[in-house]
Amino acid sequence: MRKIIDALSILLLLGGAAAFALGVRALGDERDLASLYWLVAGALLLRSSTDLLRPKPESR
Amino acid sequence: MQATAWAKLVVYGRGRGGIVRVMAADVEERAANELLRRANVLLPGMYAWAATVLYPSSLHGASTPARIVAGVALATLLVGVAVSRRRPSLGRALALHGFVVLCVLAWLLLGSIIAVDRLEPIKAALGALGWVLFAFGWGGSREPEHVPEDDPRALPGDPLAPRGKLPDGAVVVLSLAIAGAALPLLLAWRVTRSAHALFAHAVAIGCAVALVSAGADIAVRRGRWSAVEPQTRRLGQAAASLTILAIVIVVGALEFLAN
Repeated sequence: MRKIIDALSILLLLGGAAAFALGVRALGDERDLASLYWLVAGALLLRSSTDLLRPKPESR
Repeated sequence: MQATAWAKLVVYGRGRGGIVRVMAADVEERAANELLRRANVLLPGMYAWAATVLYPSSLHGASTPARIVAGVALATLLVGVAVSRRRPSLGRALALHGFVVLCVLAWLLLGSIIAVDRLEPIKAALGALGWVLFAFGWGGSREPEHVPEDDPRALPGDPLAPRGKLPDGAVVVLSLAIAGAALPLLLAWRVTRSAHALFAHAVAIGCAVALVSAGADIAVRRGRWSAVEPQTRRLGQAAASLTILAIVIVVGALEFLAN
C-alpha cells in the first residue's frame, strides 16, 4: 500500500508537469481558456501529490 | 588568513631572510585577492550598466534627468568599489544597493524608451547576463585549504551529523521534477503575442519553481512519512485536493466531448 501511494504521488507530480506544459503550450496556441484550465489542473495535481506525503499533526 | 600567515612563518621562516620573503609573499597574495574581488564586481557591473543603462540613455529622446541619474549610478559603483577595502559596509551600500537603486531609477525615468516592444532581444539578454555576473561577483567562495570552523570567530559546538539517508530513488524523482520544470520554460518561447509572451514567461517560471519545490518535497519526505499507519490515512489527507482535481478532470472531459 505504501509503495502504491508513493507511486501515486510521483505520478501526480509528473501529471502536474505535463499539465503545466500543456497550459503554456495552449497559451502559445492562443487558446486562453484551455491554458487556464491546464494551469489550474496542474496546480491541483501538484497539491494532491504533496498532500499525499504530509501527515497532519495529531490532535491532542 | 592570519593563521595561514603565521603557519608559513613557523614552517618557512627559519633561514636568514625567510620571514621577510614569506611576509612579502603574503602581502602580494592579499593584494592579488583584493584586486580579483574588485574586478569581479567592477567589470560585470560596468558591463551591465553599459548594456542596460548607458545604451538606452544615449538614444535620442532620453530625458536629461535619466542621463544624469545614469551617470551618478556609474559614479556610485566606482566610488563604492574604491572604498570597499577600507569601509566594506559603505562600499557595499554604494556599489551594490546605491548602484542598483539608481539604475532602476534611470530605467523609470527612461520610460517608453525601454518598452518591451522596443527592446533588442540579444542586447537585452546580454545585459541580463551582465547583471547575473554582477550578482555573482558579490558572492564569495571558500578558499582552498581553508576550514571555516578554524576561524576564531566560529561558534564552538557539536558537529551536525546528518539525521538520515535520502530515501531510495530521491535523485530520480528530483531529476524528473527538474526535467518537467524545463518544459514550460521552453514552451514559453512559443508564445508570439507580445502581451501574452511576458505573462507566459512569468507563468512558466512560477510553474517551474512549484514543480521543483514539490519534487524536492516528494523526493525527501517520501521516506520520512512512510511510517504513517494506516497508509490509507495519507489518502484521507489528500481527499479534498483529490476531489477537486477529479471534478476539474470530469469538467474538462465533458467539455472535450461536447466539442
